[in-house]
Amino acid sequence: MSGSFGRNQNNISCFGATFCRFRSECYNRGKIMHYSIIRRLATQPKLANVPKRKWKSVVGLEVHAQIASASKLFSGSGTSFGAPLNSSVAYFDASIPGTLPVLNRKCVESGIKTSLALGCRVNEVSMFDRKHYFYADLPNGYQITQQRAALANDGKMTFPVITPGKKVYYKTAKLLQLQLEQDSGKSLHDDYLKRSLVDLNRAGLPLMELVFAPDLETGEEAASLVKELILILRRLQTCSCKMEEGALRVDANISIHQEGDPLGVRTEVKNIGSVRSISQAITYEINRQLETVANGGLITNETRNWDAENRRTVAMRDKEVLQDYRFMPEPNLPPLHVNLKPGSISTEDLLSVAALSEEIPELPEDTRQRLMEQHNLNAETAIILVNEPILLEHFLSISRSLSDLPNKVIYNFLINDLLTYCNKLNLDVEDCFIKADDLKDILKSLHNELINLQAARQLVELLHKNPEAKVNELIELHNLQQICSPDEIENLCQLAIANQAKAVQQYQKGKAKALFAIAGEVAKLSSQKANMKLVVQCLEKLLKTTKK
Amino acid sequence: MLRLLSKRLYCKIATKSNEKATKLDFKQLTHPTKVPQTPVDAEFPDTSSSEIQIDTKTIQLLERLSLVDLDSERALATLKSSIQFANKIAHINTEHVRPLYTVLEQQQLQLRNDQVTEGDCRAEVLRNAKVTDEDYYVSPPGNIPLEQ
Repeated sequence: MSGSFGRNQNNISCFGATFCRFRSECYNRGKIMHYSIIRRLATQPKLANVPKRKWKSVVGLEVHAQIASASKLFSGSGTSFGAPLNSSVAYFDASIPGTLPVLNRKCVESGIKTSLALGCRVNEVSMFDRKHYFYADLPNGYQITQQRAALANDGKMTFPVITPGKKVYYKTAKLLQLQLEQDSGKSLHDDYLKRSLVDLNRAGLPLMELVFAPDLETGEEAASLVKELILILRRLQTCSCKMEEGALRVDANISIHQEGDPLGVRTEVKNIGSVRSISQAITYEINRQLETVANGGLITNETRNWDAENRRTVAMRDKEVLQDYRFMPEPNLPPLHVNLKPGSISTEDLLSVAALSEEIPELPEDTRQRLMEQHNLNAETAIILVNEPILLEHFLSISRSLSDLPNKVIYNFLINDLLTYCNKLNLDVEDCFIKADDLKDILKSLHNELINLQAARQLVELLHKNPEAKVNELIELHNLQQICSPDEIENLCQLAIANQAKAVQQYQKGKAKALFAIAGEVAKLSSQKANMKLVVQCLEKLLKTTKK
Repeated sequence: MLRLLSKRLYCKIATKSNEKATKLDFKQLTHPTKVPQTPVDAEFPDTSSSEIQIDTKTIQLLERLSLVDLDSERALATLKSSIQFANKIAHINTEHVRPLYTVLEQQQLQLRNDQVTEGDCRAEVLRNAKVTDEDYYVSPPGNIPLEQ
C-alpha cells in the first residue's frame, strides 16, 4: 500500500520535470531561431483563429417498463390501473412483519422473453438485492431489485431515427442490463397542508429496468429508441407501454463535453411522461447545459424533473447529493436459476430459456425487412407502417384481400390521407375508429374509379364521424360518385375554357402549366367530383382542336 | 406448620430427584458436531487496543442512516467499541473465496403462478397507520421539486 503510493508520487514529480523541460526547450529554440516570427505571432489575435472544438452531447437512457401481469411481483394482490385507493395491497406490499416475497413466474418469463428479443445474454443464476431508500411510499425502507447479478446483460437495440427534415438513419445502443424489480407506492404532495398522501396500490408492481449505455447523442435518437422499444414490448405483450399510466417511464442521463475530452458531469432527468416529451426534455437539458457552460457555470450531478407544462427541467430537493443505497443481498429470496440447455422444457420451478425463445413473435425490424422484400416497399414507407401498428394491420389486410390493387395505392392512401387526416385532428391513429373493411371499400371504389381521391378523403372524414355507416351508402347519400361520362365532362370542360380565357391563351402560347388552372376550374365546377384523368385528356383534345 | 412441612417434603423430593439425574455424555452423541471440541487459537487479531477515530461528518451520516442518536459520550463509546470488534473480520484473507450470500444457494427459487390471491384489505392495512385521510396514508412531505 505505502509502496505504491510512493511510486505515484514519483510519477507526479517526474511528469512535472519533463513538462518544465519541454517548455523551456521550445522557448529557447524559438528565441534563437525565429524571434521575429514569434514577435509577429504574439501580437496577432491568434486565439480567435484557433478552430473551436465542437461540443458533443451524450445521452443514456434508463427505462422502467411495468411487466403486464395479473398479480404483483412478489405478492398476490392485483395490478389493475385505477383501482380504488389502497385496495390492491397485500400484507407484504404494506410490509407487515412476517410476510415473505414469492416470485411471480409470469414476470420472470416476460423478463426473459424481453431479454431475448433485445439480444441479451440471459444469466443462468441471477440474484435479488435490497436497495435502501427512506421514502414514505416505500414502506419496507428498501426496494427489492437485482444489482449484483441481473436477469440478463449485454443486449443491443438497433432502431430507425426519424427526424423531421432529415434522412432516416439507423442507430444502435447497447443494453447493459435488464433487471427485475418492484415499483414503489405513489405519493401525492399536498403543498397547502405540507404533507404527502400515499397510495400503495403501485407498491410491488413488477418492473423491468433496462439500462442502456450512453450511446445516443440527441433527444430525437432517445425518442426513437423508446418508440422502437415500445413496438417490441407490445409485440411481446410483456408491457402495455401506456406512458400516460406510468407503465413505461424513462429517465435520461445527459452530459456534454468537448470533442476529445472525457465525458462531462451528467444530470439525470426524471418524470418524462410521453415519447414526444423525451425528445423535448433532452433537447432542453442539452441546451441548458451548453448555456450554463457558456456563461462560465459548472454542471453538477443532480436529478432534475421534467416540467411538461412549462417545457423545462427543474432541480429536485432530496437528491442533490449522491445517495448511499446500502445494497445488500435479499435474504428472503434464494438465487433465481434458469435452464439454459437447448431443447429443454420448463418445469414448475425451473424455466427453460430455449422454450421461451420459441414464443417470441416477429419483431418490428423483421416486419420492415419483410415488407421491403415481399411487398416491394421502400425503407421509409416500411418504417412508417411498422411504427403505426394499426396502419400496418390495415395495409396487410387490404393488400391480402384486394390483390389486384397496387401496394402503392394502398400505402399512399393510408399514409398520405388517413395518417395525415389523424395528425391534422391531433388524433392517435390507434384512436381512429375507421374499420379495415370500410377502408377496403373506399380503396376499391377509388381503384374502380367510382370515386376520386377527393371523395375518398371526404369518406374518411365522414366515417370517422359516423363509424357505423356503410361506404356505399355514404357515396350515394353524399353524391360522391366520380363524373366519368364523356359528355358531361366535355360540357364541364367547355364551361371551364370559357371561364378561364386567360389561362387558355397562355396554354396555347406554349405554357403547359396553364392547363392546371383550367383543370382546377373544372374541379371547382364539378364540386371536386370530375374524373381528373378524363378531364385532362378532354381539355387537351378540346384545346388542340381550337388551336387548329 | 403443616404447610411448611409439605414444602419441605417437596424440597426433599426435589433434591432427591436431582441427585438421580444422569449426566449427559457429549462424546457419545449420535451425530458428530462440526463445532470444534477443543479450543482453537483465534485467527482474529486483537483490535481492542487500536484507537478508533471518527470525524463528525461520518457520525452525522451514521446518525441519519441508522436514526440512532450518537450525541452522548456513552453512545459514541459503544459505537467505537462496535467498530473495533467488527474490524477483526477486515483482516481475514478472502482471496479466491466465493462469497456465500445464503445457505439456500443451491436451492431452486420457488415460483408462483400469476393469480390474484390477496389484497382488498384496505381497512386492515390502514389500521396500522397513525394518520390517514380518505383512504390515503398521510406522511410528512417528501421529494418535491426545488422551485415549488
